Amino acid sequence: MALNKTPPSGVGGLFIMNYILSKIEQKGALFSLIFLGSFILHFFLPWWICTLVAFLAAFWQAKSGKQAFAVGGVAIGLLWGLTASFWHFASQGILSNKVAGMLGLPNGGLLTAILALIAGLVGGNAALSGYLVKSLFKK
Amino acid sequence: MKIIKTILSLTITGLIIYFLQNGAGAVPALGKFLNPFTGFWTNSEIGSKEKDGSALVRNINIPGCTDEVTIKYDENGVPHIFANNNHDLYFAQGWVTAKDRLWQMEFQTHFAAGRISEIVGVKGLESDQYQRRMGAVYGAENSLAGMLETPENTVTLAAYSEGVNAYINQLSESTLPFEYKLLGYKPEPWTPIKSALFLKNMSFVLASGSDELLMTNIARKYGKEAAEELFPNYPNLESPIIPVDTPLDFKPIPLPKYDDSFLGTGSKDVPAEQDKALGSNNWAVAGSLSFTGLPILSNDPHLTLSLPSIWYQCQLTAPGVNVYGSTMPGTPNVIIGFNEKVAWGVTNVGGDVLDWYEVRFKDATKEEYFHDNQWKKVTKRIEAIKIKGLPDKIDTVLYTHHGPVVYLENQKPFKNNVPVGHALKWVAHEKSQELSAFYKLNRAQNYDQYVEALSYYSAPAQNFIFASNQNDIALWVNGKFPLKARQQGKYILDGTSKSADWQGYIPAAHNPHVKNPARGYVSSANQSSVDPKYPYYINWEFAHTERGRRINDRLAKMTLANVDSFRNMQNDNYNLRANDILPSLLLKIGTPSPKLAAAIAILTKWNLQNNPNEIAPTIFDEWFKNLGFAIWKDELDIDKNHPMRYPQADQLVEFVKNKPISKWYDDISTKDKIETLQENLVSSLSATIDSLTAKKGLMGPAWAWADWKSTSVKHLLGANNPALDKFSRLNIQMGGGGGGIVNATTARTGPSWRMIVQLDKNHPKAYGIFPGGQSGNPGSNLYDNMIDKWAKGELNELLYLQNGNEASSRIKKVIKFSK
Repeated sequence: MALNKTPPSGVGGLFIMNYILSKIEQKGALFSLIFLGSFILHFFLPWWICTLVAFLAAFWQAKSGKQAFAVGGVAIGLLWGLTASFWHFASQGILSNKVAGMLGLPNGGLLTAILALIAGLVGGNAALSGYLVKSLFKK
Repeated sequence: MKIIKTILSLTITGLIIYFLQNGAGAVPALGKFLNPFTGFWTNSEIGSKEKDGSALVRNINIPGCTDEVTIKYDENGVPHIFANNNHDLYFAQGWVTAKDRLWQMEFQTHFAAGRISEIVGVKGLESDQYQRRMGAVYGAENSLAGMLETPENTVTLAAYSEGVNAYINQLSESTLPFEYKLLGYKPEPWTPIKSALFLKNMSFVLASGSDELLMTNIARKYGKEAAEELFPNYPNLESPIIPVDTPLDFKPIPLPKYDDSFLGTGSKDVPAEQDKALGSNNWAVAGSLSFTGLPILSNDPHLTLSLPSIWYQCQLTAPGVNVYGSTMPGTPNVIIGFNEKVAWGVTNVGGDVLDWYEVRFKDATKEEYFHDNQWKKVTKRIEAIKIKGLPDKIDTVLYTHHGPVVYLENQKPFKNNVPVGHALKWVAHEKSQELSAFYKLNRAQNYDQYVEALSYYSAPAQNFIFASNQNDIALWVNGKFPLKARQQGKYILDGTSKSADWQGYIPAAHNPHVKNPARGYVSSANQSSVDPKYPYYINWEFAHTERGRRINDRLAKMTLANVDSFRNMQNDNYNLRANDILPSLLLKIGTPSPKLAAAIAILTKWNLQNNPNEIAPTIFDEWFKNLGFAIWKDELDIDKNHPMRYPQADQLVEFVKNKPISKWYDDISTKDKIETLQENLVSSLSATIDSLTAKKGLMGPAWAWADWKSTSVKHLLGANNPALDKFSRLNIQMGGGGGGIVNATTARTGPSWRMIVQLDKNHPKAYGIFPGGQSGNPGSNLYDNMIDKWAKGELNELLYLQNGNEASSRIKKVIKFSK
């Protein structure tokens, strides 16, 4: 399994993107389900709908706990991180920098990164839970 | 094992979700707030790209208008509304105001109505109780009843509310204004009572000050004679608003008789207080003194500055009206502005329109009180205050015929100048017609129509300045003033005596006024309305005289006045107080010690301008303040439970200049020593140097005036909350100073709107700016875009369109409401 390989040690964006892309290729179905499903539902439903999507998608498609956590985390982290980045960069941080200050952070860019991490944690845990619950029924 | 793992994973997931959904402790519910799809992010405004300079036109279908409405936004985000009838005009005004300022207008009216606890929980309760107990809602209800007596106000208020509600109904989760997302609540429908609450709140801001309790405490401690020596009834140096010897054009009615021997009980038990240095100015010159041969008018009302900005600019055009100016979010019409023919502006009148009456209750049940030799029934008003997360607080407020007994014994007042067990008589509680006044002013074509409009105005009293293209200039000290004996209400009044009651009001036509004075100019700067010969009593004390004197000095020398000379005057940093007192201070301090010599040298060289980089104004301002402490503190600030006050600044000037010996110079806390004036001067300057050195380091550029004064414009929620500093503008580099300088800017107050109008036979030219921006959204470029220009003392040319067809390259966006 691809997940058994260690991820590239460089923190450069290119490596991360390559890594993510390779994951998407391999785990395309699970990733797309979580990423696109959450994306669409986020326009109508409360923020936590993404956890439900990750849970159900992993319940249905995930092959292992590690995979569920990784793909769920990357999908939701990426979804929130990219969307927040869009607002942050397109508006030149006009509001994100102020909110970052309010939360004790130096700028909106860091807020975006931390938000992506938190979203990833939420998505990863939700997907892991989905896989684990399913595995209870398996044996 | 699997089960444990599963449970663990579910629990962790659940906990994270719960925390993000509900928050914990001081951390708000972050999930919803940070959600990049509907959370705060979506309030970030992304600059729209203009194509070849032509404005973006958007048609929207909003139910409620009877005809087509066009709204053109200029580059500063000022809406220019073109409607075909009054209903649609005020509908559109409500809509555009809500679009830019919904949260602010609702928050401020919630504050006015004593409903902050609904939003912020129990920490808002004391403020809410104060608002309710002072009769804010009671006054607004009376006021609304008055407004709804005329059909035009009924239409205006209803249409404005419909417009606000049309905008509220358009909102989605993602377009909800930022602060609602931050605080986690939603707007409720707008109603006309909210507009009334907003107008009434202006009386709280401008006309709720009262010194009766403090004055009574002083008289109790030192006797009335001493109190009168320290607190005279007319300034030593003054240039009153209505020029001395202006002939009366009415036959005055006699003043009522009042027995002033009553000395109230004063304080029973109370805590600490705050200081204000507001300083509004307005002036106008006749054509004889202007470059154009027609009048020019200037106005800069000063308030506690905040973001979103206090004012909202708007042009309102419909058949019978084409007016431009500053509006107050929450109320229809333009408040300060101009039309094709006239311009007007306001400064506050420090009239005594609020009195405290000591009440004698029959017994502990407080069902009856004694008045006019009989026991009278107390009426009760129930105030139910909703508190977020807690059950409602039910407050019963007792009312005598005077008004509410604001606090009873054993209740702690929210402000230390409110006496417990006293009834409040306040003009702001009465039925009133302010809305008619502004409606008519917006449409006024000449002096007579301006005077007619003013007759509808009651509170808070304002110095309404006026200029017309018929070459008239005028100023009315206008509002509803109680008919009182001289100095009645300087001290607490006897609530049992009929003769202490207000005996009606000064007739509107007898309010102080002047039209086309021989000197060729009119002005006001909150100083004494009239000289003591005026046949009515307005108040015993007004704001510092320096600004008014300085403005009149400059106007008296002015010829060929133009917009730029007026702008220069708005930014006048001359310290007239220093001019009045500094030579005496430097003379009477004697030979300075080495410690003081450097400071003395700087003060001696100073050109008396409070410019941003000077350090002399910092030293002078602190010295003057510390000198006040040195002389007055030992006698007038001795017991937190019996608050007193200091004499006004001009009394300190008078003492230093003309009273070499006085018992007040002695520090009564030193037992075997009698201090002299000189010792007070030395100790206060020494204390000044010590405290400045302690805070800013050794004397040098770090003591610069702008940094010391540190003018800030703070978000409404950020006044005492440094976490919101990024939503505020801190330490703005600018000159000026307290209430004694024309360019009056302090740490938190300053010119909230500056306007200059050059009247014209065809089309007026006008300039204006306020410290902030048109948008209330902190995610917009128009949130604070005007602050830097404002700080430099510059103005924007105001775009005043003749009609809906006039093209302008400054129009960037057009919205059309279809029928």
